[in-house]
Amino acid sequence: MSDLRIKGRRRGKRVTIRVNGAPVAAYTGETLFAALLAAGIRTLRHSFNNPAKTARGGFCGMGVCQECRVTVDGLPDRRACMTEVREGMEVATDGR
Amino acid sequence: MSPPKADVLIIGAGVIGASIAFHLTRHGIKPLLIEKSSPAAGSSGACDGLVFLQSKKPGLHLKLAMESRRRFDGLIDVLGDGIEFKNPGGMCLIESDAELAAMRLFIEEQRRTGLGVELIEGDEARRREPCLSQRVIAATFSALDSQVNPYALTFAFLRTAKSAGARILMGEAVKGIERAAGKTIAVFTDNGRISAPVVVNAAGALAADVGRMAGLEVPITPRRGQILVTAAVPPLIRHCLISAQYVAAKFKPELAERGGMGFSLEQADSGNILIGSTREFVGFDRRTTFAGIRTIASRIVPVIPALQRIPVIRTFGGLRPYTPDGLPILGKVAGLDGFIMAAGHEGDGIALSAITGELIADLIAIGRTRFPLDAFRLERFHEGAA
Repeated sequence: MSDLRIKGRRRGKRVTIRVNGAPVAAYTGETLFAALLAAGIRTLRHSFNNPAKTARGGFCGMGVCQECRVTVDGLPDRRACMTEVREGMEVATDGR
Repeated sequence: MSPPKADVLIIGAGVIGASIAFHLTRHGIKPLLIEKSSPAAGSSGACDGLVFLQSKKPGLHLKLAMESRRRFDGLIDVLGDGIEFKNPGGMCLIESDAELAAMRLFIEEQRRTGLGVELIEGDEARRREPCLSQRVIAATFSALDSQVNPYALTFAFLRTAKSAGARILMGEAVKGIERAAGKTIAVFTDNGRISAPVVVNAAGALAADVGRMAGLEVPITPRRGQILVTAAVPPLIRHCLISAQYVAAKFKPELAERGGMGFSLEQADSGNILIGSTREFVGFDRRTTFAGIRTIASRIVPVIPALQRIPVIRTFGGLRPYTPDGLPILGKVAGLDGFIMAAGHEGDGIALSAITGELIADLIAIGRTRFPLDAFRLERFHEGAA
């Protein structure tokens, strides 16, 4: 599993979230968007209203652009950038 | 820098002023449009895009809307697909026996005006529009109800008018209107005087202010409508939807339940769902309120439960130009030659923009209109009062 985090920084407690069933490492205090990005998961949805069904992912990282919406613990359309990671969090991309 | 003169000067670059400019250029007239902020900065940029016929008052109002709706088919060819016009048909949702009884009478009046409308049972409504809950006991359907992108429509009118020679002056406010011997002769802005033999008041919710500059009492007041916008989601809402209560509240307030309010909604091409709307008299305050937004949201969810899980990403308020009898004020004004009214459409400006532009342009260019304007005269509010 790739980890794109800057090495040697002090982080919160290590937790494990599950993304589409697969375990992903994260640290308390991180947003879900940051944790997904650090794990190299950039495609969170696909366009439904353009014919090419282009890949979509977080853009602004601050709650405005609505591009990073994922399903969190069964609740659809949660903004990953506005959600803090939690041990055992179940995340699904692409509206699954 | 303001030009020194214009053959026709239109005040306001909302959808109405833009449509008038567009239609004038089709007569070979090159108008000057003056807009104090930017195009669609008022109501036309803070509304939904419903071209709903079922929400119009049977009789003249509905007839005008049907004429307008008919013209959209031709406008697409000229203005292009970018206006996102589509014609999915509309449903008026009925939730109680009292509403059902009222709507039975209402559709008779609509049919007498010539609108094709059908009453369907709740299950049939759910078959056609699966997002509806059991709360819907019946619905009326009209195939003509449509929707359009109001911003795109306004800009398409402007762009097309501009390429045909119309001039648009933005960020310039009209400060006064000069009149002499019962005629308008010029308009003053911050930058100077523009002489104009014909001045059109298309200032929407601000039309009373413009009227006052010309010495006229124009009974148009702002009425706030708050609207919710959801995140873009895959197609969920197939039709243009409105509640019977909305129609009731608009025309027969005694039919609206105590404290209740109606709603209207549409899903835009982008996938965002627009849900409206409050109707409030709060002056020129166009802010949204938590209470207003919560009222709309809690009203809609029992009818379309899927909306409970779709986030609202934005809310906005717009000021509808309200008139006391619900009809716009259109046409010439007695005692002031060259001054023409084209405002007061309340929540129907987008729907009525096509016909309004044509009528006013015809009036200016050829002196007659295909649809009589008598009932829309400003003088109707002053007669009998004196």
